[in-house]
Amino acid sequence: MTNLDDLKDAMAAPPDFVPRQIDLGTVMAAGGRVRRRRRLAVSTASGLAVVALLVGGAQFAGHLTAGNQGSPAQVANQGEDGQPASNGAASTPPTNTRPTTAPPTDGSPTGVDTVLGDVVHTGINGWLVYASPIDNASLPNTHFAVNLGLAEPDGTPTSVVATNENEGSDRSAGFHATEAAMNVNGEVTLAFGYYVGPAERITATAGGETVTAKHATWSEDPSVVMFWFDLGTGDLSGLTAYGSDGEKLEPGKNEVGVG
Amino acid sequence: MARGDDEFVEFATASSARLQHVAYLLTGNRHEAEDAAQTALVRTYAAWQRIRRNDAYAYARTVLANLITDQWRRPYREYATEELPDRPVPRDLADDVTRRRWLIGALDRLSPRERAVIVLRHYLDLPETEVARELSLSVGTIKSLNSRGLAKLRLEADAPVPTPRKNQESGARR
Repeated sequence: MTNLDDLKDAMAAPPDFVPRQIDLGTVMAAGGRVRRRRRLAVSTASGLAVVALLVGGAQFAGHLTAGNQGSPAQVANQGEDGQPASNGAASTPPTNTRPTTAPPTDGSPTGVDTVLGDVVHTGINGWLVYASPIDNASLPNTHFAVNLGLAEPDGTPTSVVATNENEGSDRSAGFHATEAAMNVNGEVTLAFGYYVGPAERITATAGGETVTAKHATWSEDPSVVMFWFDLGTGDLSGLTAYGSDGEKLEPGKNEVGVG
Repeated sequence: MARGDDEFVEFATASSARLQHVAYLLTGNRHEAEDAAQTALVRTYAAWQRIRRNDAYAYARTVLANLITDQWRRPYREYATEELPDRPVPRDLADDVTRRRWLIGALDRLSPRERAVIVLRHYLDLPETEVARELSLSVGTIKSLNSRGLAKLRLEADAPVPTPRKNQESGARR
């Protein structure tokens, strides 16, 4: 037997552990979500072409009637669902919010799939950011969570990652509950969280470079700014919020958590 | 449960152990292997309607290999070692425990690319062209990585590859 045969035999031998019995119910539920999301991406891609045509048409009409109305940049900044795309560092807060039309389906007044306020479309791979209510006796000062989720085909948001303050008030000034990007059943999530205060710009350091988050003010409380970073930003540190004059704001809990 | 779901359950039940085995060889970590196998099955189920009439296992295995090798495409995970193993390949591998320990220790000494090539080439018995396609590398690079990996393992790179084993797997369909 050659050494190569030894190697092959060793690799072919059963590993020294009993393979885990994989929960196929979980696998199929997660796979179904991936499938639905792909379908949604296809349909929104088609919709995007229509939106681009409509916006382009409106601009063309605007040029005819009002000269300089309509900005080409608006077209360039469209992402999925016709919402502004987050394509790297951007300092302009998105205006991509829309009222949620899907009511809670479980009848529960709280829970991550109950939407509190507007759902924000990040423009990145269909990811949504929204708040949901929390009513938990062990968290007397926490009344909401921020979710990163995906939309079901009927538009209902489904939470993939939920994060909330678990120490002190959920409305104290500064950063709260920032969650790092992670892999959830094959879906790479966005780093996201929220800031309480008049943040106009939110940045972090990743790979020695400063990256800027997209952000949106929560419709239920304008002091709460929900933010997220683009895909592939890398490990984040040094979260910093800036006010309208460029001044640094209260950091709060500006660390980034995982899991 | 839909008929396609029944088929998937049957497929997943039959293949999950093998997928975990491949993943374990690629990672050397049981828990990472289990997670990678589960994720590969998730993606396989997502594409089930499209692939179930073809070679579903090849699809799952390709997803698995890409999941793991995508990690070494990231710069911070990319490393290479030129260190040789402390000891040559043991000639007497009668003891399974010793053999497994040697195997994982030896694979751990390879760079991630070399490891992936060695596992795909010599455990799955995939031809070089197939390995190249799965890893999105040139055939020349596969040859080089294979030769270097075997050299680190102190094996003869030009040793004839035995005829396909019972566990030979067909090529990926992507």
